[in-house]
Amino acid sequence: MPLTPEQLQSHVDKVPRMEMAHLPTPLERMPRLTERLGGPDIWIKREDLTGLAYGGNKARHYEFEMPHVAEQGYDVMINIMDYHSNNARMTAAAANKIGMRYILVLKHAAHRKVQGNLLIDKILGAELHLLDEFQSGDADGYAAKLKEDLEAEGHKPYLIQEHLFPRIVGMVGFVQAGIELREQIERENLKNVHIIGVAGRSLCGLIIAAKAMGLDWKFTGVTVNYDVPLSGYIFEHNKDIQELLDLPVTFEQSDMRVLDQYVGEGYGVMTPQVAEAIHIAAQTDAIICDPNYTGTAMAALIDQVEDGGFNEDETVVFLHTGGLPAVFTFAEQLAAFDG
Amino acid sequence: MTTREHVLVKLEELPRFKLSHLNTPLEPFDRLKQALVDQGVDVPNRILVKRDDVTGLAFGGNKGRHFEFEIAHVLEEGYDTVININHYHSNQARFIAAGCARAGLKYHIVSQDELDAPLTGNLLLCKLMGAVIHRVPSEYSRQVAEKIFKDEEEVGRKPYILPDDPFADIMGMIGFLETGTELEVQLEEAGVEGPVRFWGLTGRSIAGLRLYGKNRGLDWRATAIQYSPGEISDFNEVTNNRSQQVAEMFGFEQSLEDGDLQVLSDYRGPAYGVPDDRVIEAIKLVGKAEGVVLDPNYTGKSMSGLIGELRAGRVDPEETICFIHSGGLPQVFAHADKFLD
Repeated sequence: MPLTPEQLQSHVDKVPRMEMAHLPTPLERMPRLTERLGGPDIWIKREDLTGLAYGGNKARHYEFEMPHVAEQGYDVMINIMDYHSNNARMTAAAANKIGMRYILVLKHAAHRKVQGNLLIDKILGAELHLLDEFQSGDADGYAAKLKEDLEAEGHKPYLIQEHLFPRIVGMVGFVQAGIELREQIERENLKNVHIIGVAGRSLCGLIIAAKAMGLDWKFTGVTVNYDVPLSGYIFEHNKDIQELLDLPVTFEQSDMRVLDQYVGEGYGVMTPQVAEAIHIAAQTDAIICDPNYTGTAMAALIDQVEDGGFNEDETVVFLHTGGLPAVFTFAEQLAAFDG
Repeated sequence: MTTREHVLVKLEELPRFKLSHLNTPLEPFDRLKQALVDQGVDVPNRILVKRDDVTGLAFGGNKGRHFEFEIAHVLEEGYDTVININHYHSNQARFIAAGCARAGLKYHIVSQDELDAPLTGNLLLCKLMGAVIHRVPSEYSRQVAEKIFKDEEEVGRKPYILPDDPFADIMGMIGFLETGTELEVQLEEAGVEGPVRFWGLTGRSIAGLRLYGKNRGLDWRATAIQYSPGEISDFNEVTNNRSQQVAEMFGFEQSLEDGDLQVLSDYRGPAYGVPDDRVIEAIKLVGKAEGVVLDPNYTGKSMSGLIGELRAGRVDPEETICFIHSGGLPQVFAHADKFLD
């Protein structure tokens, strides 16, 4: 028996929540991209418009993560991330919103140009530890030491990477997004919905929502460069989220078509296909994608439409997860691209 | 006195090309207020922020409102090519690029000065959105725009030089009449009583708000921070004239007069596009307190003015402050060097 949206909402409501994001985010058409590609109708879910420090999907996560941390009496958060991380930036903004001290251990960050997310981390006043290549090999040890020192001073630090909750909270946020999206899709009367986005927790949250409500949405997840393997990172947590929300269903790896052929050569190298996709989305519907995540997903969307990867009668919904500051980390490459 | 409904009806009569996500939120700046209190600053009861940085069109900003009218106007007149002249730091240049992309119009931006500055921020976004970029010293910008005009005409296109259009001068004010209709309801919902002071920059947006409040008989006051050189009297004259045109269009009894806007020139820093230390301090203070990012060219200057006036005890404590976050977020990345410490 599928759950009604109200019933699913009551499961989500079991988790304490505070307002961080501007919701609902819009679902809008991309008429000019649709016309240019000449395939199925393309829509976009604008998670870049959550309004938290340049926006992005993760604003939804913090609505649950921040109360979870604060209610247990933690007084400082420590986060270990790569220097380009959107998560690092958005956690900084969310922490500031509740007055939580925030220490950011950034791997591969020493001697980097201060741009993009790293610049915003600075503006938001994160306590930065920029690790060099040697230190980055043992970032966990580095952060553990920071934590010990803080404990010795009488603080109660929350080292994000030591806890399970932050790994599943993103999915909770997107179960919520799924309820929101269902209403929008019904209002717009969209049929045969096929959602494409970066293969990650957000998409998994949407899958859970769709399965729980008995919807026929299809999903394509695009693997992006430098991400850890999906199976260990996301799919192993399908039971944890089910348990947390006490749901009759969860996602399986087979619920998502995974495309891994758009991965570039690694971080800092934007493939020409991604650069081109960024230009196409910008020049048609003034949608800006970033070189790391959404640009790769957009490249996949364009290629799949051209390659017949979607049925003509499908409505393709592109999940724009944000990441906008990274555009400027790649300013030189984007400026030089002839597109 | 006019009614809110009258303004909405008049707005409906204007051709419009949808670009933005409205309404934008009105949010408390309680933690900023507390941060100032912690510094020993006397603050008014409430500081609010109107989040026009989240209008949703290509990094957002207040101009996402105005250009809904401008692009509709261009399409209605049958133009197919827009030629714009503006500065390296211009947010307006980016909005027009986004509007032209959505409407399928060709777009030339004559970008003046800072010729050696890297292609980033707004200008990079213009490039991504398909703008043809011509970077020239300001003394040649007019000439270059006219040459582009002629070249486009010769190949059979119908070009339009945006700064020559009188409509472009007033639509910013019109866009903010609509913001006024939004804010009137939002302020009431937020339970705001007594005088409200809108805090923004010398421009059409704050003037539009003040014009709306004046004709609605609301106790709305306004402070406009200068961000570039120029005489206050010149700004007032231009603003008053434009407000007359808008008042005629909308059938208002009153237009703006000297004194309707408090204009402050103490916070503009050394030049347009150059923030002083107070601006950087203000941006960091708001970032830390609220998780909200301001830009060094516009909103950072406006905020440095607010903090400066509060510290100097020159803000009436009875007033509710409503800070207008007009956006400008891409240009933060063109000022990375200011945040290195």
